[in-house]
Amino acid sequence: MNIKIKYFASLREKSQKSEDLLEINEKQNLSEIYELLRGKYHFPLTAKEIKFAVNNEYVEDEYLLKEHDVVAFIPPVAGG
Amino acid sequence: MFRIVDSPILVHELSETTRDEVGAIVTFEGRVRNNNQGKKVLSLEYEAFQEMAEAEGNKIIKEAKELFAIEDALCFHRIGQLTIREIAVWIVVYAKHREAAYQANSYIIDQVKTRVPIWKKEFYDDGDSEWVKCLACAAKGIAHHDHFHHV
Repeated sequence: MNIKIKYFASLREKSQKSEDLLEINEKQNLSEIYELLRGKYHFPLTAKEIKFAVNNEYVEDEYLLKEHDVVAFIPPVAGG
Repeated sequence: MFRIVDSPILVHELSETTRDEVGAIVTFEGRVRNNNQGKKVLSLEYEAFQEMAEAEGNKIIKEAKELFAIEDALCFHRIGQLTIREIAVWIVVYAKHREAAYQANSYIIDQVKTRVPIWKKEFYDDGDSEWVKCLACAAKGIAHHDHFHHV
């Protein structure tokens, strides 16, 4: 199944892109997907240090992804 | 209403009210400070996941209206390059009485800092730069509805 990934802040800088299109299998959870991409792009943060959002809402790691979901990896926020 | 904006926030135009029942207006200005954890900061860059930031920010405003006896609340957050003393975030709360206005304003800024997907890169006088990592905010397992009940 195909999903879109969005990168921000330190993750965007490391990967040198804002988005990726990715083919995953249904059994992969968000942490596993993140760790795979972390290996590829050498992200500075571990899966435990970030949060996940799907289609603009925070979700837990166990969230069941669907075709065409838009996944965002959310590094520690620092607004204000 | 919560908005991400990429130009200076015109606070004087925004804090007026057209509601005759409003007896208290509390505003908060978050400004760019020249130091953080012992390092001299020259400027900041804010980045947002705009769509989600506005969705999450509007949830916070809605919660504030449910939790406190206020008439309305607005919050604006800048993105892009900001220099020292510029306003990064601005909140106004309108209420009949001051107590609810103060509490709601404080609630909104606390929630914005922990939940809204906005990131800050600091540029230091030694040429270094760094994405700020707020450890308290990064604590895992704190879903936003938990914050909601801790007020």
